[in-house]
Amino acid sequence: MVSTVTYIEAGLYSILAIALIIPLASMATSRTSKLVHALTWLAVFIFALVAIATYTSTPLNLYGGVIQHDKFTALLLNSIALTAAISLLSANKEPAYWESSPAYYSLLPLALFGTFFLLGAADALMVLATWLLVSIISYVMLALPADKASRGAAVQYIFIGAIATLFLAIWVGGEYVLSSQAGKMGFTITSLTLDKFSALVLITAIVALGFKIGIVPFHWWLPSVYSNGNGYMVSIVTGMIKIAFIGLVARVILNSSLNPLVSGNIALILAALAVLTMTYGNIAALTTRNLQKLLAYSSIAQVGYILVGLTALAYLAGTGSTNVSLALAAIVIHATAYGVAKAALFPLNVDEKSLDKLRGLLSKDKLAAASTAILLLSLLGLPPLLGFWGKFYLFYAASSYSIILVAIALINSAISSAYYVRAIRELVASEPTEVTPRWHVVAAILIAALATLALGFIAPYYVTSLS
Amino acid sequence: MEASVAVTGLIPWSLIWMFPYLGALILALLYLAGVKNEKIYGWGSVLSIAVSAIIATMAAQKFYAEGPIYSLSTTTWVPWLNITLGTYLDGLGVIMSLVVSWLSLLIAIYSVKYMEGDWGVQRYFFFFTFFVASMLLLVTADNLVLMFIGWEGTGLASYALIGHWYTDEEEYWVGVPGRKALGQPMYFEPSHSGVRAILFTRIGDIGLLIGMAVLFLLTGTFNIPELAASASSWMGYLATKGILVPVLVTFSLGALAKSAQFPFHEWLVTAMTGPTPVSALIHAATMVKAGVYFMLRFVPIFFAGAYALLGANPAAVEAAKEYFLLMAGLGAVTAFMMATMALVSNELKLILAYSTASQLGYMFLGAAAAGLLLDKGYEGLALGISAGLSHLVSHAVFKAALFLIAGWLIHVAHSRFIDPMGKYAKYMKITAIAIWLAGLSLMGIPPLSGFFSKELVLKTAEEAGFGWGYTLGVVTAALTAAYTFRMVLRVFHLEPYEKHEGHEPHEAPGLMLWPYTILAVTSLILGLYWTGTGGAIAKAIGETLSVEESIQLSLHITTGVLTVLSLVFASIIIVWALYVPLKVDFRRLIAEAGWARILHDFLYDRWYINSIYYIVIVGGFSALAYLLGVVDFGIDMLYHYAIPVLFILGASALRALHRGKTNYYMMLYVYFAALILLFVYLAWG
Repeated sequence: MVSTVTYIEAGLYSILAIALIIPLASMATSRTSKLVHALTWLAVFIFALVAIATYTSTPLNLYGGVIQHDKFTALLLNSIALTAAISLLSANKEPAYWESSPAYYSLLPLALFGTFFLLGAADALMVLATWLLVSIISYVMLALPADKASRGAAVQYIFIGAIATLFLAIWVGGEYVLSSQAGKMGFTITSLTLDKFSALVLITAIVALGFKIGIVPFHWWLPSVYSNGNGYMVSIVTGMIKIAFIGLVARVILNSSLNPLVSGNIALILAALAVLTMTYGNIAALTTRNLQKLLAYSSIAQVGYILVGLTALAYLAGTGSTNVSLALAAIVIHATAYGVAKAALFPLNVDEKSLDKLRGLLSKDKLAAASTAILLLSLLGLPPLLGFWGKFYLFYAASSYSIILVAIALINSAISSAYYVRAIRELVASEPTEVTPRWHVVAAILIAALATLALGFIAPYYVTSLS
Repeated sequence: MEASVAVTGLIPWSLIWMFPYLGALILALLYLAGVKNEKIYGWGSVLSIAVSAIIATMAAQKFYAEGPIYSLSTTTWVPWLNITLGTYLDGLGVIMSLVVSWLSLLIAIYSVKYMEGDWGVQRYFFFFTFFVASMLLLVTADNLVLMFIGWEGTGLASYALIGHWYTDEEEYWVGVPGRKALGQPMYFEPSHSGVRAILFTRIGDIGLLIGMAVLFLLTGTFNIPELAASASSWMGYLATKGILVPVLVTFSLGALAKSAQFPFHEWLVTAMTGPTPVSALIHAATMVKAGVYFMLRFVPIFFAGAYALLGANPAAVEAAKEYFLLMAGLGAVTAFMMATMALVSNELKLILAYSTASQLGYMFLGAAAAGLLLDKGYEGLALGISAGLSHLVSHAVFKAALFLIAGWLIHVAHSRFIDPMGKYAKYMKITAIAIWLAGLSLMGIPPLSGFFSKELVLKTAEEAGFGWGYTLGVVTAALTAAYTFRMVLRVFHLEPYEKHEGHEPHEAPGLMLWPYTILAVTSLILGLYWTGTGGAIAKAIGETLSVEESIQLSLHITTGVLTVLSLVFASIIIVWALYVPLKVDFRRLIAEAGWARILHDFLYDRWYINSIYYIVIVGGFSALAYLLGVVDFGIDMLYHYAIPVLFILGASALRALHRGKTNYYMMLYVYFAALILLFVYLAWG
């Protein structure tokens, strides 16, 4: 009798194998080979199976407990599979024509492989290892299109990423000290204490991980990378990779906040960062005429909302409340809503970025227009779309911590309506435009919109499945 | 009240009001179909009203032979509010529908000629017919909701017809262009007047609606006979709560406004911007009588309620008396006030409008004073109600005649002012006879009908012991004689103040001449045959109120009657003396003598009441609107200027931090990391 674990491991190795075979296959056939494209899709499909299998066999321990998956991370794996499919569908065969071909098709499976370990990393050393793997893949991917803007974005990302990695390394050391103080083995992510050393550990984690997911004021790279990078690549970075890092942040926060004496401190710091992040993102997004920039700043704001959930998570973990699962579900739902929408929307204007040029882009295609509107409205948080449930549970979970924080989040949502609605209005305006969206980009938006609608209907089940 | 009334189906008696509605509908459809021929509209209107008049006459015959008619739909119209669809023709309803339908018919015929060639003649006849239907519905409805529909229908038609010439040419205005009182304009365009009419009456109608709602909550019915039957119980209940007077007054506000009683009288004056037949029908003969009809309908109900509570509930009886006294007082004050204004007016239709409001005051006085005769029982009530109804009928006839004549005179003179009019008796003999007949009736000279009906009202006030009301009524009688005599004297017998230019005056064409001549002669016949007229009214009221003994509506020559008559004749003689032998030049007097000018302006500018309304109410609301405008502007600036600018600046500032330089970003990253680390490190613990 072969266990599910074996199947999961086999699936992961197959994905790794595909990533390594693709360059060879490309050399054997041609740069734009159908085989390469099909192999990448196969890897995404296998990853989806792995994600489902992981969900059904939680709690899952692999490699002697170094990798651990629970329902929370398993749900995120599923979201990553969905987001990867959207990104791949959107890019379709375009990256095959670049000089770097077939790197995109090889790196995508490799990144998927990495996210499984990143999300499952049970100790700090494993976090560092998978962090390096996934980070380097994302740096390289950003540089793939080989144009000046992409390279600039990639270089910027790499430089600041290097410093962030140093902070992460310090954190790993700190965790070693903390776990040995607590009488545990190795690099276990341990709850903080009132000792000043804990503050150092916490802040290094926040500075490093905050860089990755774009928490203000560690977000400096994000607007330029997101708005100068190639839309297909940003789709990967802001979609599947960001979801994985959000899951990692949640796990680190949860494990660090179990001590009721410090969970209040952690929640307070996160709350302050949440207010700063969402307000910064929303206000900066208000007046820009560049769609990609608008989406970039809105990404910062969305992470601000997730920080509201992380605040609740830290606070509830300290109180030992069963509502921790509510906060976790909220984070899953909102990360998914965010990732799905952004993965589909960023490629919308691969060549053209100004809203003035894109005015009326979707006026000819009613279905595309409706789908885009659904995604933007989901980001705005309109019921019954997935983004509404995300915000609803995030704010609901946070309401036990601070009503003021929830009020600020709601005001921020109201402010964000200005630019989301304006973007919808511009894109569906009945004016002729010279730019036509590519069919695969539209198809990805359509799939993403359908997923946003469908998941919106089952969103409450996320909560029940985690509790 | 009514022991057993035979109930028949909705048809045929409801055709009294259904037929003109059908006519109006057909006219509207014709208009929409693009039919322009004005003769079709005029005679179509006449025809539908004629059918209605014939049915009303048949109903009257049936009533006098067999008693009240109740024509009721077999199904309930609005079940959850228990609203029926029925036509109730008791004595009051029969007489009202007779007066309304026949007067409307004559005035419709007059209108065919009068409105010939007018650019809005199709619209005119649609609203005219719609009005007649609504008015007939109002006076025959068996329940308050149906009555209210008719009530509002007349208001709508009144609004539309007052503003008929909504392009507001100066010839259709009311008042002297440019004249101001207390800084407020005293001239009114048709469109402005229409809005005034609908606003003034709307205030009252809200009261009526509230009253209806209260009665329904207490009794669960809108049906008028049912409300009458349970009057003592709901009146007793309201009295124990101490709110009987407020409820009754609120309920009656609609009547006060509709009949232009003080303090709602202002709208009627400016309603004279409408075509003259409209003034004759709506603003003299019928619609303004709706309030009086309301009083004639409900005073007996309130009376019956109070009468049943005599001895049992003294508070209720006192409250009812208070209400009756207030209404009678308002009537007396209106009668006097409006008569004084008529003394100095030089606009023909305005004189008649003041006179109308004044005479409506008499009717209110009579109807409300009837309620004060609680001690005399139902016979006392019947006297007052019959007095009110008699004056309503006789006034409808002679005032319609006067207005129709005025319409012709204004046409002849090309002016709404009487200054260019004079010596018309020389050119139009029949019209002169007609105006003398109608005018003498208004003055209250025997044997014309106006004499009898006015004396009956005064008799009611006297018997009710309403001293100051009676005195005001007597004084008003003298004033009425004075202004009417002055008007007829100046227009028909004296030299005009201003030389008339244009065509020589001549007699009116037949279609206009005959309607007012018939009305004027009718006024004489009703008076000459007062035993018959009064008898019919008395019988109708007696039947309605179930008063067994016949009511005495014939007059005995008493000192009271003689006093009034001598005062009336005295004032006629004074006016004659001032104008004919003494030849007083009033215009010079006003220009030279301060006291004369002050008195003249006070009366001419309607006691300054209009100006005070505009200053206090319109000015008050304007001030409030201005204040709210300032607040709104502030909010507007906040939302549309201050906040957006703040956000735009904020957005630019935040984005300006991103300069795209990698080393700069690295610096910011490390700098903030260090700052937060330091802060948290120090605060930790």
